[in-house]
Amino acid sequence: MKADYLDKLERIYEHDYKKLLLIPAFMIVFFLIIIGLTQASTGYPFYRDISLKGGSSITVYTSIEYNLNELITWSRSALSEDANVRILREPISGRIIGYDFEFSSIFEVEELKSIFQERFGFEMGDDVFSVGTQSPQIAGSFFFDAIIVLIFAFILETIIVLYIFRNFLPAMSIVFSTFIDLLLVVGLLDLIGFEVGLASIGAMLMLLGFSTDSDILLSTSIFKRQEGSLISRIKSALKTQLTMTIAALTAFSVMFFFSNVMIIKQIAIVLIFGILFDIMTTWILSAGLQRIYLERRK
Amino acid sequence: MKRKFGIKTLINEYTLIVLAVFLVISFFAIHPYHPQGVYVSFTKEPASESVPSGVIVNKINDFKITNLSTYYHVLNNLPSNTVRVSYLEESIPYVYSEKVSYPFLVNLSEDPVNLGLVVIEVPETNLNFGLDIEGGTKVLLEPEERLLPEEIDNILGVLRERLNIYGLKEIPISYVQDLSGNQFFRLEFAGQSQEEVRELLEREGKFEARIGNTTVFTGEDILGVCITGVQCGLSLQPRVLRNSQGQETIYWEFSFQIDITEEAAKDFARATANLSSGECTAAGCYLNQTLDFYIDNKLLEGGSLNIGSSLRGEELTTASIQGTRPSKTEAQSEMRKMQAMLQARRMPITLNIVRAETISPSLGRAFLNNIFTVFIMAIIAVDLVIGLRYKTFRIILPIIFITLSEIFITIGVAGFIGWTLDLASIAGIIASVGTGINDQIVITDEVIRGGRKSGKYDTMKKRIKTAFFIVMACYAASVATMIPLIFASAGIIRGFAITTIIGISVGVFITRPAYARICEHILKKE
Repeated sequence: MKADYLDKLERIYEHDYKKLLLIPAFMIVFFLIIIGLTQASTGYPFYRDISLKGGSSITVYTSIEYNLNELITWSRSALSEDANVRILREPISGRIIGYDFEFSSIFEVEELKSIFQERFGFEMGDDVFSVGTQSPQIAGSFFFDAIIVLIFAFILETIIVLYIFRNFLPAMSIVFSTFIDLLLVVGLLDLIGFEVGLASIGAMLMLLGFSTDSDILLSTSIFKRQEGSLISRIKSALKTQLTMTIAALTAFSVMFFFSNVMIIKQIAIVLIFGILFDIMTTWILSAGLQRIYLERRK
Repeated sequence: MKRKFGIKTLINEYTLIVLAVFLVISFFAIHPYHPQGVYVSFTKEPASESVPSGVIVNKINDFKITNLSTYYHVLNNLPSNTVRVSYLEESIPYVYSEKVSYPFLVNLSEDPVNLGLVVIEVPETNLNFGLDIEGGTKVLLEPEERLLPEEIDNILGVLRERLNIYGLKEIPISYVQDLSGNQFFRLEFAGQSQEEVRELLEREGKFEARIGNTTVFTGEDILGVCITGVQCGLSLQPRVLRNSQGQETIYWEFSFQIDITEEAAKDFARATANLSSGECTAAGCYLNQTLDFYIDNKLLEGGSLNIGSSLRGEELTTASIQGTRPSKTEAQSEMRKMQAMLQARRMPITLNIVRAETISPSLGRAFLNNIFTVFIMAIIAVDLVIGLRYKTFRIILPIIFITLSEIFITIGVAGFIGWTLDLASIAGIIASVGTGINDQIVITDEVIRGGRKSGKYDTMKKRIKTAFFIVMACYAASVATMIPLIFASAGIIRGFAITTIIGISVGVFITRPAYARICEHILKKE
């Protein structure tokens, strides 16, 4: 019966919170392995898109229908390189807007225009042909910047959380769970082979803020309020958190599945994964650690 | 109970008043009304001398222009080759003054007739959209060698001068560094393709210095232009001028040396030997003809120098270029311009294009429409979720209103500060509003929780105060994490960071306090 089931879950959450910590522990180990494998095969902890790796990106603006597999095969033979090819569609009508090609090498724009003109059968004028190129050396420098920015953001967050809570352990458990959140997101992106770009890095920074949001909500319930039992306070905060999570998930899922703008997709997917993992890292990992701390304090 | 509208109401409802004020300001900043005509997005020869960009052309030779098709119709039916353009310039929001350009000549045999104006339909709003939406080319150039600060200024000047020469004015050029210290120049061209940009950068122009019609030296004769350091005669000094009444004024004098070949020195001496004296000013006496700088047979703007009388007939391989201006900044700027002109025939150092993006206007517009549509869909979906949770329209409608206000004011602030909205900026607005809905949910729950229980722990104000403590803490964390992104990666996603900061600031200081107040009103009625 449903009520028994929920009661059972509540009992587990209330009493077996130390055992529940096995879930995040298992996930951390699993995704660390995935990240390790990615690092070993590519030399980087995640797959990078053109902005962080270099290459060329071409978009042809047309509503004519072409076979995706044929385009992939053609691009490989025409430019001696595998390409990521995407069809761009309008979200509601599904009408084709264009085709997106991504290559790892840099090509001359004139050369590209004539090759594409031959395949598509119409002139690649400026109104139809969009092309972006990024040198790999500079992409490497941008990647380095992205890592610095993430590290710096963590340091800033730690300082602010320490300042607010003035209590080392709760502050550290917040920073730790935020870090794990990010780690799990990167791991899952690696697992599905999604390429991270500068926009995703921006989204990861937003995730730091969002994750801290929920952790502060939890910690405020546990530490700053006094009414009711600890569990009833946590349950009340959890209800708020779940509403927030479902609302945000809905918003970003719509954006991911219906947008054809790569920047939006890169931001949305990081936030979707981050929000999902955040439930676990806040309410099982961080809550568990803080409850252990509270018990030891008694 | 009758409610009186007085000072007390104003104080109690200040959050709602602040919200209303910002909505009005945003309305003015976004400016969703414009007069009829066509909008000048940028200017080239021949119009660039008389018509600025950013104005609305409403008449050509007294023929009224209402949109692009009337514009082209008038252009194709010009009665004479003299053109006078009437345009509307906005001095303060919604107040336009009509101005008329100096008449200029056009070539009627060209098809279509080229006035030198790149025009688009009058934009629906005042917002600046980035090139990845309007269409155009953005390039990031990296110098082959490391540059000193003065050299950076010099390259910026030379780039501007070159673009001016080829008829492109007001091209945004800026210098950026990434966190590793790599140096870049960023250029944005609204109407050029990548090949055109490459040509502009690589093209070598023919430089000539003439006295009258005689070429005295060419670009090849210039062995060096002093850019840095006192050793090569660079100086910027204040001077005092005393007039006949004993009044003192300070002006600034700049000077820098150029080295030219012996051949050129001889030509100069020959050309000046027979010149007579011209005017004398406080700064000195000059010959009656000037030394004029030409590139590709065109006289450079501001490129005429007075020749000091003492130089008549002199063979000098090292010459000093001097000038005076009333202020230090003006003098420095003039000096840079002179230096740039003398180098503008080709770039003094090699600049490599390390990143280039050309977006077609159609694609850019399609992306903007897509983002807009998807966002509306997302808001509808989220409101359904919120509706399910709270099961009352009393809370749903204010949440929708506040969410839309937040977006509107964020865009308004961005418009007000003139921030260019590129795709990254728009993504920032959407992402910040998307995560911002969370805080409204926190506030709603805090207020509801307070409404249902009462006791020493749960006064309404204390509840809201707890919610705001959470909100302020998260605000500080979110802003702090965005700041490094402004400076990283040569500012490529700077727009995302800026609009996110604006978005969450608008949320924390304007929309959410107003929402809390609205919540209080609604729940008091229950």
